[in-house]
Amino acid sequence: MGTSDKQLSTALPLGGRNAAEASSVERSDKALSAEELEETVRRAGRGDEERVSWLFERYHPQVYRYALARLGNAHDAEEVAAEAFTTVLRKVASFRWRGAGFEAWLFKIAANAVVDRHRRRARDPVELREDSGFENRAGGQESDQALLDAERGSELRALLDRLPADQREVLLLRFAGELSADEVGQVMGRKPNAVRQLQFRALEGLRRRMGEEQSGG
Amino acid sequence: MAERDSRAYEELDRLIDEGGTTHGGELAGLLATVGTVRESLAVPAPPAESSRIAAALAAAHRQALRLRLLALSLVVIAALVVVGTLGTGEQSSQPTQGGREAAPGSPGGDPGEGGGGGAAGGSGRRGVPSSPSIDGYSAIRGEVLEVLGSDRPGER
Repeated sequence: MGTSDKQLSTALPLGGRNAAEASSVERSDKALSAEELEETVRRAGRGDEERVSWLFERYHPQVYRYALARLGNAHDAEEVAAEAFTTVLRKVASFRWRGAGFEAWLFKIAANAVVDRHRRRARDPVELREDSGFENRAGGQESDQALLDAERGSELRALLDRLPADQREVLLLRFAGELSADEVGQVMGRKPNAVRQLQFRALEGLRRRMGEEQSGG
Repeated sequence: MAERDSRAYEELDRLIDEGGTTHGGELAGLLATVGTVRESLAVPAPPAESSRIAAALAAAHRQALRLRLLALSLVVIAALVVVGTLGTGEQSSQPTQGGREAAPGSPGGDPGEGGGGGAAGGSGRRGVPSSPSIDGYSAIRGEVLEVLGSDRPGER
């Protein structure tokens, strides 16, 4: 039942990989069964440093991406991710598996941290927000293709921002947070079918707007 | 109509989860949009920092656990001390003997005969341990009474 060290050792730090490689590694890591994850979380709650590090390495990229997509600023996203993990570690010992899994719980905390950050921003608007966090994806290579990709990405994020809040949240939790529809439902307090409907409509709306942009509408 | 929509929502969700594809139709267009969204959101997390932060967080977590354990131990020790003191305090709950008062016209009262029985002594009511300096206090009190005694009307 316990998580073996072999399985934990497959979760390599993501440093130095590009986004595609990182994404594939993360997906393969997701093979940890619910029982194994529960055991890992339980041991992390008892202060097992290896398990704490594993949870951080495993979920930090997703939380960071989600925060970045919602905040549009790398510095804020890093801080929110760190805040979320600090809260998780403070409360993980008392976390109980009642319906919602660890990932849903983690992203609920992250979503709250994002809301807090928005509030703080509103109170203190004089903050540097120059680094959107999406500029360096080409690993510093400023080729024409990289610039084009960056521009397209920026346009798409602008379109995402124009979606209704609940539709945008579904897409961000689903594709930045890599949660399932059920997990998104647990984070948002919606039924899985409602999440699937929101997802469908969000993608429909996005596709339509992308078409309009391309045709110059 | 609603059932057909519901099936489409589920089918799209399944294809997204499984990384499946479909040819033509609305779902194919939506899956292409999913690809674009994923691409635009796929950024690597700050690499150099992550291990350092993980180590720091783990250390902070362990420290917090230690502090919690320490706080709990202190509470238990404090509770034991209180319970122990209550027991001892009841045994030595007699009021302590103060110095005798000076008789009128006499040069002053005798110095105090010392306070309670050191740590086990107390005010008598709650069994609070008496101060270790109570002997010193009684001696001073005796001296003060001696000085005061000379000013009493009886001497004049």
